[in-house]
Amino acid sequence: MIRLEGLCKSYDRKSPIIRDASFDLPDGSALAILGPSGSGKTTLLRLIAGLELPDDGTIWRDGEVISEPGWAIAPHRRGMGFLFQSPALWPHMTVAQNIRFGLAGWARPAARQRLEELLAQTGLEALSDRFPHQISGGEARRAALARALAPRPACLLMDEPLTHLDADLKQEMLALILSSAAAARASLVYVTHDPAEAEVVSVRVGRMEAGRLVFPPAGEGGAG
Amino acid sequence: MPALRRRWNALEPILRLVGFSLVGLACLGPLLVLLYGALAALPQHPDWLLLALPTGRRAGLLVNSLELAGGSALAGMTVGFLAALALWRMPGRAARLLRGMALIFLPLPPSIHALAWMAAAQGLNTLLASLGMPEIRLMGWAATLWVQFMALLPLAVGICLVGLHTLDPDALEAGEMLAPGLQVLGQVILPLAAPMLAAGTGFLFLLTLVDHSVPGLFGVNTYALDIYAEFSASSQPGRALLLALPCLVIGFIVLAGMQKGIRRVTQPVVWARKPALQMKLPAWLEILVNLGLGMVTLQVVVPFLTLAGSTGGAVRLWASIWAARSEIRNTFWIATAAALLCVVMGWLAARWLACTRQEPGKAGGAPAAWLVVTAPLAVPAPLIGVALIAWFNRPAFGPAYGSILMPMLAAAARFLPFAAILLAAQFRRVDPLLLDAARLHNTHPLRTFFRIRLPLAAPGLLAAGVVVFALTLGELGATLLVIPPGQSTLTLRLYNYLHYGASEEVAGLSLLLTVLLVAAFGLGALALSLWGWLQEAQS
Repeated sequence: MIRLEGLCKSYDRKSPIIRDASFDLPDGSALAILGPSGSGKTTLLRLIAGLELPDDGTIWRDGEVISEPGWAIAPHRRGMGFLFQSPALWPHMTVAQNIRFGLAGWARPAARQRLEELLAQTGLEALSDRFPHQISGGEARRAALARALAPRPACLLMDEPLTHLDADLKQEMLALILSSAAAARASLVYVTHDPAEAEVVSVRVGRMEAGRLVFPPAGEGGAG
Repeated sequence: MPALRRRWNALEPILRLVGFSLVGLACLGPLLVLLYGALAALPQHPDWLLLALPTGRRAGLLVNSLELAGGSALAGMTVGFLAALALWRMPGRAARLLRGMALIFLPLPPSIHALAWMAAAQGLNTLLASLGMPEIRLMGWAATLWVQFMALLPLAVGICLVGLHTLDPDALEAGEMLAPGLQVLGQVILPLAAPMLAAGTGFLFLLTLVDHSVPGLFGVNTYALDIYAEFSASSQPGRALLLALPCLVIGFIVLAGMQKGIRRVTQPVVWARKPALQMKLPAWLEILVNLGLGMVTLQVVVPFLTLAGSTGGAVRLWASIWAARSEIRNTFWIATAAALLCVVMGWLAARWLACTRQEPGKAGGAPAAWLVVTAPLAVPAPLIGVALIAWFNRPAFGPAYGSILMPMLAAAARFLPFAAILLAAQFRRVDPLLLDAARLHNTHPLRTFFRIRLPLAAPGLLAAGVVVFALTLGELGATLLVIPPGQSTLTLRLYNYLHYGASEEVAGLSLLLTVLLVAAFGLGALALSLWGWLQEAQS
C-alpha cells in the first residue's frame, strides 16, 4: 500500500506546485489523476517515484517511510516502475538490453526467464535484438512498459503514457497496460488529461486543481 | 518584385557555390598552397621526401609529441568529466556560480597558464629555500604535461558539461528508476555521452599536438616546434609541409574520428529541463569526483593569485600596460578583424554544414563538408603561418604582406571552424517553419535575410564573434611567423618575455590579457542572456 500525507513541493518558494497532497493506494488498486497542463500532475508522480524530493509531507510504502523532508529512499529502491510521456528507451541498447537493465541483480537464468515472459507479454519476441530506432513508436512504448515491469514493481507510475499515439494504438496500449498491471498485481497511478482515458483506467479519479489533489465525493465519479 | 525574385532565385545557386568555394579555399587553401610548393620543388629536391618519414630523432620527437598530446587529453577529459559530473548533479545557485568559476579561464591561452605556474613554482621555491629544502624545478616533459593539462581543464569541463546537458533527461531518469547510480553512470550516461567525450578527447589531443607554446617555454621540443624551427632555418614551405606530414595524417585521422561528436554539438536538442538526478555514487567515486572539482578550482586559483600577486603593484602594472600600448592596439584590431571575417565566412560555412533538412538526432550536411570545414583544427599552427607566407610573399601582395593583415588572416584561418560550428548549431536550432513562413509571404530573399534570418542567427553570430575574438587574443603559433617586422601582439610580447622567466611586467600583461579575455566572454554571455530575455519578453 502506498500512502501520501501532506505532500508539498515548490520550485521557487512563492508558488507551490503541489499543496498538501494526500491519498492511500491499496495494493493492486488503480488511481487516475486528471488535470490540465501545469497543474502539478507530473510533479506529484515524480515525488512518488523519488525523482523529486518533497518540501514537506511523507510517503509510505507498506507502512515504511520512503520519503520525508530531507530524506528519501533512492528511486530504484522503491519498487516502483515509471512510464514517461516518451518511451525514453536507451538508443545504444537493444530492446532486450533495455528490458534487462533493471534485472542486473538477478541470477542469470531468472533474468532470462523474466525477459522472455515480458517479451511474450508485450509481443516483442521478434524485435528483441532491434535497437530503438529500428522499431515503431507503438513498439517502443511496449518496450518501455516491459522495461518498467521487469523488476516486478509493486506500483506502476504512468505519466500520460499514451501521448502522441493514434486512437487505435492508444486503445491497444491501454489494454496492455491494464492487463500487465493486473498480471503483475501492481497498483497503478495513472496521470492523464483525458477524462475518458482516466475512466477506463480506474473508478477512482482524482483531479489536480492549482496544486491540490481533490477527489470528487463518492457517487460523483470518484472516491477519496 | 516577382521579376526581382526570379533573378534572385537564378542567382542563389551560383552565390551558394561561390560561398562554398570560398569556405573550401579558406579551410584547405593553406594546405593546397603548401602542397603545390612541395610538388613543384620535389623534382629538384627528391631527398625532401625523406622528411615525410620520421626517423631517428624526429621519430622520437613524434612519439613524444603524441604521448604529450594523448596524456594531456586523457588526463584533461578524465578529470574534466569527474568535475563536470559534480557540477551537473549539483542543484541551485551554487552550482551556477561554480560552473562559472570552472569555465572562467577557458579562453586563457596555455602560455599564460604556463607563466602562472612558473610564478607559482618561483613562490614555492622561495618558501622551500627559506625552509632549507631543495627547490622544485618546473621544466621538461612533466612540467609541460602538467601545465598543458591544467590549461585544457576548463575546456574539458565545458565539453563534458555540454555532453551531459544534451542527454535526454527522461532516459536518465528511466535508468535511475531501475538501477543504482554506478550502473546508470556506466551503462547509460557514459555510452550516451561517448561521442561527445570522444570528440572532446580528440579536440584536446589536436590542440596539444598543433601548438608549441607550452613545450617551448619548458625547454621541450615537440613536432610542432620542429616544424617552426625547420621553416625558420630553411624558409622552404615545401620542406615544412613534408616534415609536418606525419603530424597532419595523425591529425586528420583523429579529426575524422571526432566527426560524430562534433556534429552532435549542432543537434537541435534543447531540453526544457535538467534531470533531477539523486544518483548516489559509491564513496570511492564521490572522492574522485570531488578531487576533480578540486583540480578545477586549482586551475582557477593558482593563475589568478600568482598573476595578481606578481604584478608589482598598480603603478608597475600601469607602466607595463603603457609600455605595451602598441601591442595592445594591434591585438585588438587583429582580434576584431579576425572575428568579423570568421563570422562572415562562418556563416557561409554553416550554411554548407546545415544545408540538408534535419532528421531527428542527426546533424545535416555532407560528411565531406564537415571534414573540410573542421580541417584547420588538425593543421599545426606554424604550418598555417608558413602557408600564408608562401601565399602572400610575392610582389603582388607587397603592402598586405608587410601589414597586420597577415596575423589577422592567420587567426581567421585557424579559428574559422569554431565560428562555423557555432553558427551551424544556431542555424539548426531555428525552427525551419519560421523560414518557410517568410517564404510563404513571398518576401524578397534580402528582406527575409535582414528581417528573419539575421535576427534568428544573432545569438550564434555573437557567440562565434566572441569565441574567435578571444582565441585570437591568445594566438601565438602562426602569429610568430607572420607578424611583420617592427610589429607585435600582446601574446607575442609576453612569449618573448617569458623565455626570461616570470617578471612583474609579464605578470601585469598576462593579468591584462586575462581580464580582456574574461571580459570578452562575460560581455558575450551577458549579451546572449539579454537577447534571450528580450525574445522571451516579446513572446
